[in-house]
Amino acid sequence: MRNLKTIALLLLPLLGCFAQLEDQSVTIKHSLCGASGPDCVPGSGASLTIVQVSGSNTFTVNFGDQPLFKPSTALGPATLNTSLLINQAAFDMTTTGSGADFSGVNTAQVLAAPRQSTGPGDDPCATPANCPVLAAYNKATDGAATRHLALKGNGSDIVKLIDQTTHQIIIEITASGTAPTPALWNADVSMDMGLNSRANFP
Amino acid sequence: MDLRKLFVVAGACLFVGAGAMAQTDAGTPAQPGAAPGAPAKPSKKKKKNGTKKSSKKSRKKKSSTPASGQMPALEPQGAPDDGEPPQLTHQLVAAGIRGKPLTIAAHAIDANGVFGPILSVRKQGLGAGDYVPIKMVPSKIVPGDYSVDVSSALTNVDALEYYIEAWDIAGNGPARAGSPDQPIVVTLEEEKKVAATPALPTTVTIKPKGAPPAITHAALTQALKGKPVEINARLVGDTGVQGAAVMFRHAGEREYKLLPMGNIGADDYTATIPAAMTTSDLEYYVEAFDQYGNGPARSGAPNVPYALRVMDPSPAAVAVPAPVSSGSRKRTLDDDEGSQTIIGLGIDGGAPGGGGLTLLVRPLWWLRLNGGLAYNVVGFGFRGGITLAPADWAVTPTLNLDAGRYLSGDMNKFVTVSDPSERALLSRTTYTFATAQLGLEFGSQRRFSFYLRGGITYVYSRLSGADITAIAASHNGDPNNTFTVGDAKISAIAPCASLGFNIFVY
Repeated sequence: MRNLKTIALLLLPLLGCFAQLEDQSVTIKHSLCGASGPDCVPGSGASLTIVQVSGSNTFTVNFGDQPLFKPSTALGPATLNTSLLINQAAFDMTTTGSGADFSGVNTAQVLAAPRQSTGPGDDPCATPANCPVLAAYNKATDGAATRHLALKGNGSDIVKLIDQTTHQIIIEITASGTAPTPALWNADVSMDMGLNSRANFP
Repeated sequence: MDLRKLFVVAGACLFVGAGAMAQTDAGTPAQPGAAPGAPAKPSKKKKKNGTKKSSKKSRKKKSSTPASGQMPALEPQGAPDDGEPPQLTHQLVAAGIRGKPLTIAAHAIDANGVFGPILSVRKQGLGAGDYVPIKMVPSKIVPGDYSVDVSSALTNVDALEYYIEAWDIAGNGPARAGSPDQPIVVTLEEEKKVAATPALPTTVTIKPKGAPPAITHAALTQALKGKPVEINARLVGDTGVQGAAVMFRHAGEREYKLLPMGNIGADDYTATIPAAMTTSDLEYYVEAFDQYGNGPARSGAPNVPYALRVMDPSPAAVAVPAPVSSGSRKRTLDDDEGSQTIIGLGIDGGAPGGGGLTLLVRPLWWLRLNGGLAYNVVGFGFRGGITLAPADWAVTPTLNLDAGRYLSGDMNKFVTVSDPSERALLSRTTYTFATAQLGLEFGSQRRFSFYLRGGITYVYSRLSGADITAIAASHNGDPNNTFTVGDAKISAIAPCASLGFNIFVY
């Protein structure tokens, strides 16, 4: 019995064994209308509700088959568990010209939608509980935006929302206030995330 | 034949024989006062000429009787007959153990010398003629003391009766303790046996008989190569000494050889390690048992042997040993300044740390510093650390703290990847590590030791963000996406093990 205790004591430090990869800045930037495509988001200073991209209430961001963008990965006898927590999101206006900014936006939210919208009248996030908020902007607290609109992340784990088959995440943007002045505009939406992959053993 | 009748017949024959040989010599009939059944006693000497001759004849005749075995040969006594029987004193024996010998003692003295005393014993309740006479044996230590053991064959009864008679050589007597009519009664009881009763549990301490001998030994520290080494010790034990031996081995060996020690007088023992064995440094200890096997007592011990440095013959004298009591000595580097090495080399290998070649420096006998190169197939690096060795034993526990950094490495030697970006990342593997290990070192801390260690290691590495960005871009599924990844940090805590050896050369 004494030997067992000794062995257990000697092995105790091994209980804390792990391997971990941390990267506090993983940023994916997505052009709403495509990097070389025409502007596709309606503007004209209209009141904002859902930001339509190319006539749809949602758009997709494809992360690709990244090695670590999976909730869990077998790593020998251990399992590598990964989290991808959103730090912040941002819109950067790519359209030039007068009024091509976000100064009229009062609030904005980036939502993870459960499915693609089927048309202008279809809102997958009509039931708010179906769409977790990834990041949010409030002009009253965050200050007026210009061509750059920053949304604060709320720590949602993106990796759980990425479809492991298509590697896509479906995004819906809701906003209030007035849209940029140009009739159509384009912007890059970026999400900055913190990656943490950790395998504990034994 | 009944013993009493035998003596009567013997007495009659003696009387007739003596009368036929000399008319002046009168045979001595059985004394009227003598007990029936008692052995024949010496006749009272007459105060006439020829008495002695007659007595001699009488004794000669008596010696041929069947009862002669109970009759001692009588020597003429120089002292005049005092006419008094011996003074007989006896401590009554009232009880005995059935089936066990019964010792009866008496004290009898007389100026003319004592004949007997005769113990007459019978089973209680038997007749007067059933006494069995037994001659009591004089003590060799105390004059006048006599005793006899009544055999266990006679004591296997409920009670015995006995009396004791004694005469002097002149035939005066008998003096008696008890008498045939009023014998002394001895009650014989069964031997009391301790019955095992279900009593409450008790703690029984079995104390072994004897104790190991005490060893006083002057430890030797140096010897000359090719010369025999005499090892002496004083072994003192109240219960003797046996199995005294010198156990010795060459430094670095596992098994000891036994060298019996011989007694050279009094409590001094010695053994000589033959010259053929003094080829390299030796380690030894002395041990002994007592005659009951208690022990071993030791001076030194298998795990704490005395180190005997074997040197080439030179004019330098072998150091004079200092007396050491058994079990009180722990070797340290400071013991032997001549063999205090402080600089050496270490070579080790293990997982996941790889191997290393290090320079060893020992600023304190219990502290060792190391620093040198590290190699783990992936690449080269450097490392350094400290070792705490709190003893200098044949098997020494150690605590090791090391840290280092691998400066370059190509993990592609171990991982097969086709993505050029991933290959680029793996080709620039560098990491920093720190290790804490407990170990056991076998051998001499001064010269050569082999060790096994185990513990945990902490590994830290930083990956280039540019490389990771390139990897992410290569897996990008949407041309409208752009990835930007900062530097990543990899850390791990994992078990580690290593083995190696140290050689101290200076």
